[in-house]
Amino acid sequence: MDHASDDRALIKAIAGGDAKALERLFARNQTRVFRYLTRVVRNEAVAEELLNEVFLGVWQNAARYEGRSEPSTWLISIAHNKAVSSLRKKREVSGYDEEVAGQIEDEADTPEVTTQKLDKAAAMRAAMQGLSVEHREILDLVYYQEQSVTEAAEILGIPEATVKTRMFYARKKLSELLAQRGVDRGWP
Amino acid sequence: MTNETEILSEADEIAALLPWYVSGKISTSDKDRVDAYANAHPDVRRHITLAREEADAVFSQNQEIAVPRDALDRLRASVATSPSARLHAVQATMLDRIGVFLGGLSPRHLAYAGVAAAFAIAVQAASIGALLQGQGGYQVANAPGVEASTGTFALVAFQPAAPAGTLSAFLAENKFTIVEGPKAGGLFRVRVGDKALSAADAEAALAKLKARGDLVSFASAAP
Repeated sequence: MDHASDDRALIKAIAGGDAKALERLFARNQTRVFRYLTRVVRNEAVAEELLNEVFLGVWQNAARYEGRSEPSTWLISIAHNKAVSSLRKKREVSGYDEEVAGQIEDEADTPEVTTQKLDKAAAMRAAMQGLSVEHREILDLVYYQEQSVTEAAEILGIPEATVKTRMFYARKKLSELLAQRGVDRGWP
Repeated sequence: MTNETEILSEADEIAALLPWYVSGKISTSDKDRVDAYANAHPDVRRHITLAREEADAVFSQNQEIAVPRDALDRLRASVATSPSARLHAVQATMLDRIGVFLGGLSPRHLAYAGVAAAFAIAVQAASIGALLQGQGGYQVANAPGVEASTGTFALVAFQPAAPAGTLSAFLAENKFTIVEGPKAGGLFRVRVGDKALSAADAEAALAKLKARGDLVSFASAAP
């Protein structure tokens, strides 16, 4: 039996009120979900709070899981909604747009950046930090969360064609940010 | 953000598909499309290397994020106060910790986790394997003669401090067989019947497992 089948069995047990099944599902998936949340909201304390909310949501809504999507896709979909809601609230309360601020910082060629030009890996990391939430998220969904085009579309609530287009622009932007750091990828 | 409704050129569409091509989570038709394009445009091979570099960067950045230690306790507290709470007070066990480590690791992730993950799996597999094989009376996963796909099954987590002899005797007495494990979350797949049991008999088998709280920390029906 594969990981998804095990998780489906656990979700079914959770729907029946089995709290130990929730703990097992949590133990099996918390790393993946927490990392996703941290990468999207860029704040570990907030991500920890949202992680709790995601699995509390699973506890309360497991009966609604119909098994049509992979359990991992369902969990990340819940996490996505929690993260988006959190970011929206943050912007409404503070009026501070972290994405814009992050991109402004990326324009400057600081001494740190100069050093990073010598290190392609470090430049890649820094460039990824300069991506927008949407672009960072699509890269994470595919490269780390291992979601297909269809699954990413389900999580993000957008058409599959838009998922592909977003991925293209995420990668293009990444190349641009790398170029600013002296790394020419030869594409696009 | 850029215009995401824009229609991409063929070359750009291929560039968009490469991350899925690299991750392996790509449809057959899209994969064939990339392969056909790459055969006609050898430069795409270099572009695939770029995608692999991106994958490695994303993966290493994720690996640096440590999961909070008290997250499970926090969830237990939240569940206990939620409207549908049915949580019993359960102490965190070693299996929980191993489960946290293994949680969310796909085969690819396990490959990256390398020695540490292999060690964690080996320790647990060895302990349960020794626990079981040393006592005789039943077979474990991958043993000759065990057909893992037939019968009625349960997902089970054992108490880490369960005495080997007691656990062995309990499983043999009930003709329960471990057919797979340990898996993420410290779970084992246990056959509780050689054939498809009726709902009542399957529930009775689960009840036997759950009744032995000294040996079993979790049991649930499995497909």
